[in-house]
Amino acid sequence: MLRYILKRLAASVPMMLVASFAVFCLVALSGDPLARLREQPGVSAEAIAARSEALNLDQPLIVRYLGWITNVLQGNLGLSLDGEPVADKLTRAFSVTLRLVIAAAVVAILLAVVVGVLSAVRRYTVWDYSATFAAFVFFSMPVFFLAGVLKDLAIRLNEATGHVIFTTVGERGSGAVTGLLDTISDRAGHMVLPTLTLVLVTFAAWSRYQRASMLEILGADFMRTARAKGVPERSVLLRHGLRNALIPLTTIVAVDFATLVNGSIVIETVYAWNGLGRLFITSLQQGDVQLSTAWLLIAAGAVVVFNLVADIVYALLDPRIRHA
Amino acid sequence: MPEPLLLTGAPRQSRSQLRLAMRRFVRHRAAMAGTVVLVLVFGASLIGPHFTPYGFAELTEDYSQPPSAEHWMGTDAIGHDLLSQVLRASQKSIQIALVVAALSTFIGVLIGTVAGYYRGWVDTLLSRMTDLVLVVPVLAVLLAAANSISQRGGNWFLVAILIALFLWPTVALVVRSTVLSLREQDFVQAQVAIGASDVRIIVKHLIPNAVGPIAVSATLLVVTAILLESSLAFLGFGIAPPDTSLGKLVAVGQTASSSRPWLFYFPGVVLLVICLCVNFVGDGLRDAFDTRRSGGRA
Amino acid sequence: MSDSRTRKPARLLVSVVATLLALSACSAIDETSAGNTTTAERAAGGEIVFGAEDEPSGFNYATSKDSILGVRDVVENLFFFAAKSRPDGTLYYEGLAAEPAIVSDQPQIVEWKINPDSTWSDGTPVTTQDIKYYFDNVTNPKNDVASRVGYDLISKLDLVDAKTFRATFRSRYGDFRGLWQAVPQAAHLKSTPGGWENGLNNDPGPSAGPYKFERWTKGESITLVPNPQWKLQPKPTVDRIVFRFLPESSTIPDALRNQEINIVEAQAQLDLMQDLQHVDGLKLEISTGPRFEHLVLNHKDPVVGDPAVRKAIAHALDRDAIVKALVAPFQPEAKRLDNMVLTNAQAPGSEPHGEQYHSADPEAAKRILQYAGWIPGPNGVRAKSGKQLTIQFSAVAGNQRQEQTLELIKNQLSKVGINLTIDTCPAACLFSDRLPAGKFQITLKGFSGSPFPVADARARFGTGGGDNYSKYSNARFDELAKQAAETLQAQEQIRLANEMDKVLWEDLPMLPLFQRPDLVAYRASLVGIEPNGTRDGVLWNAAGWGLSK
Repeated sequence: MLRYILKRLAASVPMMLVASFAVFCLVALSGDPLARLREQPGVSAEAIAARSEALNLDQPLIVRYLGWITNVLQGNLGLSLDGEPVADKLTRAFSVTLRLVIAAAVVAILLAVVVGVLSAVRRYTVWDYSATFAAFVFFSMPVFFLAGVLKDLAIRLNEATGHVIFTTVGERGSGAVTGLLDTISDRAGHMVLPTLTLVLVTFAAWSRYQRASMLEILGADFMRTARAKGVPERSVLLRHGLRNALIPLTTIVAVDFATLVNGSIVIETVYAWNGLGRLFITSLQQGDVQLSTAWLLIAAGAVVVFNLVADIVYALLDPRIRHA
Repeated sequence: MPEPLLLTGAPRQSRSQLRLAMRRFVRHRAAMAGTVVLVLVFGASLIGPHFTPYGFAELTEDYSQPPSAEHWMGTDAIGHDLLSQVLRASQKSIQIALVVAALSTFIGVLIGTVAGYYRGWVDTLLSRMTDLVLVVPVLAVLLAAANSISQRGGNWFLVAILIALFLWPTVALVVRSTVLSLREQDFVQAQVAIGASDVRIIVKHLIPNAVGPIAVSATLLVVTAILLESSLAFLGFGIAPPDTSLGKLVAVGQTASSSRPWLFYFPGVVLLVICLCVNFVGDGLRDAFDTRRSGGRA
Repeated sequence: MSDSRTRKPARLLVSVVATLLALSACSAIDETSAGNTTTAERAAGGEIVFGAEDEPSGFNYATSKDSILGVRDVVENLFFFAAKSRPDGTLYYEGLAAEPAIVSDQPQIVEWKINPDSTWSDGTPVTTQDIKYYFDNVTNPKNDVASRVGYDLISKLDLVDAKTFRATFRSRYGDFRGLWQAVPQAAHLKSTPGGWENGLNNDPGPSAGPYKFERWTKGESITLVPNPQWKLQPKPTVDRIVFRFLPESSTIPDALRNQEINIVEAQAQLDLMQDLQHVDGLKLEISTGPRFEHLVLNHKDPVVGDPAVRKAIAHALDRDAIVKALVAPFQPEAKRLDNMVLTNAQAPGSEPHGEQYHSADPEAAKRILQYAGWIPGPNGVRAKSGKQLTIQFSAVAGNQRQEQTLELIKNQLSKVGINLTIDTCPAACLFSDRLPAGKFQITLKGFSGSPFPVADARARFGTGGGDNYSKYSNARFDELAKQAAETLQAQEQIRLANEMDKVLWEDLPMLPLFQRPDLVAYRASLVGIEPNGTRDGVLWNAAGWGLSK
């Protein structure tokens, strides 16, 4: 097993290097890190030239890349436009996005398993058809539209009741929140709508996977054997069926990490969360090259890691893979 | 010179398979409904503009009017007729999606068949490349690239090509695995034995037999492409004015969800309906060709 | 997002209409000059959440890094200001004991006396040492400074005593009353690592204003609380003011609707106004000032550089129709703007010019083009020696308000055979690359007015001026502008400014469209809010804000 993991790890190193170069070129070609300086009437040409030299902007791309990647490997991601270390910004935004993604993933998995299994067990019933239809609607739904609809409905509800039950701006309240309980309820209140949005768009596809794999398992020989041995139906379903039917979902969830990133970019824009997604958009709009490059690199790295995790989990659950 | 009977068997068989798949598809109610609605929407988006009283860029004197007999979907703040805009936007969205689907399917099929047919180091190299593109967080990279393109005066066609460059891996994977199994079958081996050229084998025998899985994944790409393009437009990195796309209309309308709901809900629902129908069609194709891949989104 | 960028540099410059008015009105020192609210109307306590477009990058507003509107709004109530503008443009001297006095005319020497009550929140008084440190750094060529205008003319700064200082000017400088803005505490800056450029990156240090800094949650909000050392009137009654960052302007209507912010200052635009008018319990106040919207015509461009093409554009443009469609729906009294120098049309002395372009005249446009050799082609687009009259219009990607203006203009110009193609690029690229480098034909821009119209006009139209994006150059204009800048006579300056404008209408480096309306939207439960169209913005009197009883 360890050898398998090491082999996969080794394979992802060159991949990351290629990705880092691609990312660097992509951003270097798109933005001017000195844009903001040039815009100021009071900044002299010498000051701009000096800054340009400090950032190696006068060097060829490959030299700049080597300088940058060396720094990155030493753990230095550089400074953002406003002088704050990029790493600090990313860390702060990461914790915000992580809260959204983890909460959404947990709820979505639970929902997907319940809906998927029920659909499989009660195949071709009204329940199955409605679940299927709902799944289709949600995974055909553009995230930004769903987010906007939920936001509008929530505010209409607030207006109808006269209380602000759902909040729509940011990941936390702006007031002086004191005490653990208040803090928790404040954060939770702000999480409801964004999390719900992400849950709905992700659970849909997952519930389909779950339904399919459950159906496959239901027809499998060992299920028939278990029933023949007189094991109660409930136990057959849960102990034998569900357990095996969960394997494909585990890997899908890990692989779908990129989907969650895509979703969070849009959701954070609609709900004004200060997470990774919004940070990235802002960095592009402001031409904050150091920040966008680091962001993409981290995102690519995270996807590679999640894929690795998916492979490992799959290998652990299904021993046949290891030797393939 | 007439070809030996044995060797012409395979394509004919695939033709009958196609007919079978067709019959199954027609029986798939959701897929047929999806097809009909899609044809209607696409037809309307192409023909409609010739019949609507207003051009999509035309500015009427009716500002922010709710839906009426005059303007079926209402108007926006400077007097655009929303119906004309939605039609134009659907047309653009579908155009982009079709270009993306065609292009990425082409790339995917090419890479998938070459990798699956030649195996060995070619396969290793291409598969690594596929893996690499597959792990890219597409929306983020597209945002960065679109940002760069728009600074160089790019247009929607460039955006479409760009999207296609990131979507082909799913096709490539499916095609590669199909080709891997096909090339071991007798009819392909027989072709190899009589010394048919690689190109001929790939074009005449491998690709036609992989048409099912290709069609299914191409359909799913259409949805992915529409969603990606509209997300880009929504985030402000899309098509240039006065042209418009559905994502852009929704983005512009989002602040109006309470004051002028038609501006937000009409384009959004049209977008949803298009994606939903394409997904139904994809599902129908999957059942028809009996490919065992389950649906997923990008 | 683009708006903050376009507004930024101009708000830096300090206040001429205001100065001019102050000269004539000779405003008296007035303790209650900041707003009209009294404590009687305000309930004690409460919180006000201000929806802020930009997050500060630090607090030293004088550096180019921090010279953004988002910083100005926060430090407005923290740092030492010699003078601020009232909504009507007159100045009041919050930080001074008296109006700065001209001690000598030749050379010009001015004396300032700091208010004896001005105290930092750590208990130490505001002294001339703070002024000296600020001056030394602003004039230090090695430092990153956004604008040295005015300070670069001071040859000598004398500290008379702890509260009095005098500046000697190298050449005459009429706008001296606007100097010494957002001065931070010297002692704090000196003792902080990072110094002038980075010393205030995380914390503004002690405050001399009605509020003091309490907390900055990065990416989310900045909280200010009342400064107990504030001895002037009005005194804050609220517990805190929170600046909540909302970089996506699309979230503003819902945030106000859902009461997650109480007040916001934004550019009034059609859609925003319609969305907000729909929200219950909201007060909307529109103000106009010297800010204006205009087309920049690139004089170095082979097509637009042709005077005939520029004149044809000016004739073809129906500016009244643009105002009627985009501004009049929420501001019925809005009119097109006919002065490129004195851009605050309501201020005394601003005369309309460019009479021939007052109403659209497509026929005149066609005549001019025809005469210049641009002949209509089969598709309606004119062409000259095989080259089509197609002009690229550069715009900020994803900016809806701009797109609406663009579409109107495109429509109008197409009627005379000018084809506009629209080219969008991100704000950062348009404003810092294409515009300064002249890589555009026509673009739409907003200039925010500083109250120094002559200084602004020199930067915008003077040969080699920093904001001269059209690369315009006219010797007569330069001469008039020089005379206007050196005169200390208000009436004469206004006369010269109007002369300058007449020259501009001959050459058309830009086409002004309308004065840009500013919106302050706030919950009806707030009292003491007074929109201020000057660079000081609505936060000028935040000390008098409160919740109604």
